[in-house]
Amino acid sequence: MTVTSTRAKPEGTLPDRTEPAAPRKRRRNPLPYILLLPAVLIVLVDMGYPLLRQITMAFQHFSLEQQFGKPAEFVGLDNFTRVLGDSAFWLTLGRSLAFCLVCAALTMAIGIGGALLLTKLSRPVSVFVQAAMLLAWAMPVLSSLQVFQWIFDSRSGVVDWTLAGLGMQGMAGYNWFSNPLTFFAVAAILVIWMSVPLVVFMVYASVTQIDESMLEASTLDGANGWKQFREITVPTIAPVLLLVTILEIIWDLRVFTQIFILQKNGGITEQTNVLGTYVYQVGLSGGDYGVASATALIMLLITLLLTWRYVTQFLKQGEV
Amino acid sequence: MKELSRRGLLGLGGALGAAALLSACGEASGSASSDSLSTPAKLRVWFMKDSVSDKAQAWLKQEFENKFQGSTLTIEQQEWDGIVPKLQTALASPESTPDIIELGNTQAPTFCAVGALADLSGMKEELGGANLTKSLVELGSFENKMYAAPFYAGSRIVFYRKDMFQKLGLAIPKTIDELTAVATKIQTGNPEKNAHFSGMFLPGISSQSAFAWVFSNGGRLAVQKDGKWEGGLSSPESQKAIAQLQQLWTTGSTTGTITDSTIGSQPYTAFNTGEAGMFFGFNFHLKKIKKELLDAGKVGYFNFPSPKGDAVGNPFAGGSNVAISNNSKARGLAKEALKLIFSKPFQEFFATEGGWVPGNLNYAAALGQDELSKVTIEAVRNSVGTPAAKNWALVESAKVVDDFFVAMGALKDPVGLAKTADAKMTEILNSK
Repeated sequence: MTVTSTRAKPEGTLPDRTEPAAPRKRRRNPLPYILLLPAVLIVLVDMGYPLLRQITMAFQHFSLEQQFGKPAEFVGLDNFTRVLGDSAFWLTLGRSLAFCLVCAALTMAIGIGGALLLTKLSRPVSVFVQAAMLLAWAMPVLSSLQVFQWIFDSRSGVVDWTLAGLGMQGMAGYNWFSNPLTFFAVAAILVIWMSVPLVVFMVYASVTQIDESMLEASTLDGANGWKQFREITVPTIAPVLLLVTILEIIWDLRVFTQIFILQKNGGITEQTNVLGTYVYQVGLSGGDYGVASATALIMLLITLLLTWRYVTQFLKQGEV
Repeated sequence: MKELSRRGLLGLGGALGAAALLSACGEASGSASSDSLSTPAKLRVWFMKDSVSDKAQAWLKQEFENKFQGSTLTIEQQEWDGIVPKLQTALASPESTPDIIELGNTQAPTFCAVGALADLSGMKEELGGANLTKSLVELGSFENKMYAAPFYAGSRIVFYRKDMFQKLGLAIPKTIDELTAVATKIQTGNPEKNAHFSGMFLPGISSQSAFAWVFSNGGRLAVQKDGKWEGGLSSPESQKAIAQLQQLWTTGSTTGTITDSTIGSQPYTAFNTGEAGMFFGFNFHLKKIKKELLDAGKVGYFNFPSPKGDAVGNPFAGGSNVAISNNSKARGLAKEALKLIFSKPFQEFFATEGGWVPGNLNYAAALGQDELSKVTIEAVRNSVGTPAAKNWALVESAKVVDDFFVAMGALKDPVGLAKTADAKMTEILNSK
């Protein structure tokens, strides 16, 4: 609002307004930029500084002694060669990518399915389902972790009890957290459970915006549900799907809390590390901030690579 | 504007992981602290869970605040789990550092070596001098200067169900093999017909308990040869100990696969529910044992046995050091508070309230003359610590040893995994 009122002053005379030169004038006006300044500053200080610091540290020998005041010395690409030469890093990377892709794919599939289902439900049921999802989504991650640990507890957990009751004798007292595969299965269920609601809400919101007449027309033309979904629903809500997919991939790749807490339960840290916990272990626990920074930079690069196609597509669509 | 915010959002997602990592590590600085006693200060003290009793905490706070009017002393209790990373970041800046900190003795060498702590050599005599527990002084020193003073020590002893031993006609084991045999007999006997019964409660995650087997056989976690550290789990002595442990986990204990560290730190729980015939715990765990069991005279304790039965075994030397952060803005007052910690009343609280052996051995007599105290002091006297290596805390936080013993508890290959763990230890311990 302030922008338009100040703009009106220098323009003064009427005919100017219709002239094509107007956009150039808008660019010269400094006010929008001044208004942008606080936000840009916050982003720079909040994210620019740590990022810069991290990039610097990635090229330094920075361990505990440097943390307590010893000057850090630059070592070129040393940290990077050390990370890339560490087999543990590659194993962790593979594990992380697999975990991320499985979680993101399942989350999207379940989320989209749930959203479409919501459109078919009667109003009270739909409201009930949405309320339940909102609760799941709003639950603090530590609380849900605790609940999941109880559910999968080897002594008193309901899962082992049920499976044993169903006749699977080996499952009585089974420790889910002591085997990497079942460890990640539990972690994936938790991660997916927590991120599905957001996908459902966003997809549901955009699906309800689809023009009903278009769907009706397609029904008259003989399109079935799957065809409608593929030819009408998906193209219409593509921007939302893209955005959510990007977010899911980013979130699932840098998953930390869930794995970190479950590791305390599992006791097999090395076989269950993902990139996030690996960086934490090398950097904060291992006191090697230089190598950890280099790893985190590599992780950032991988995230960009993974999402690059989506990001460019997304930006292109955003301009329409 | 729209486009910018979108890009910002994407950047945010990507950079957050990286940024969050670093937001915690502030700028390092070591100067600008005050040694004056006249400027009032708000001292922050970090004690670990289960270390200092409420009574002792209240006493310290009151004494200090009475002596230094206008100053305050606040005790913040910390959890063991994850304390090393927390200390690394908190101690590094004058704004976030607590003034006085308790350090696990296994972590002390690391913090002494990197310049995180104030030099206490000048007040060593005043704190107790030759009466300070020697092994803890060693772990708290670097290049002949003491940075972390002995706080307290403790070692595990074996608790057992007297009634079960009696019923099955068992005697207190004198050797490690006898211990396994006794555990096996109780487990197969299962006198109370309990579905979850274990002869001995010994979770795989509790590596510090398992150290007793290694140390008593003469093994060490790592040894220094010609100035270089080397992992010691592959040594014949350590391998013998692991074979004994895996035998126990096969026939005398069902708890090797327990990987929950919380359950591991409360070994008395299974004992209380009648699900274990023995557990390996600290003397102060006696207070956590169910009253009915104690009143009925069903609880006894003995020292960890040796391989040959000719001596007391060598359990892990648990304990803590106490230090002043080099970045503290009130080092002078912190030193005064440290003097209070090493005064007779506070040291005796360790013995009378906590059941720990106080850092100044002059006051250990306060533990009393009863059987429990005798067994405890014997255990502490024979205890062996983790390597006094500068990087030991890093081995701990990389969970090299923990992961190894969890795998042993699950009866995995001792030779191959010991080799891997040793290589990792060697690498971490020798890195600069």
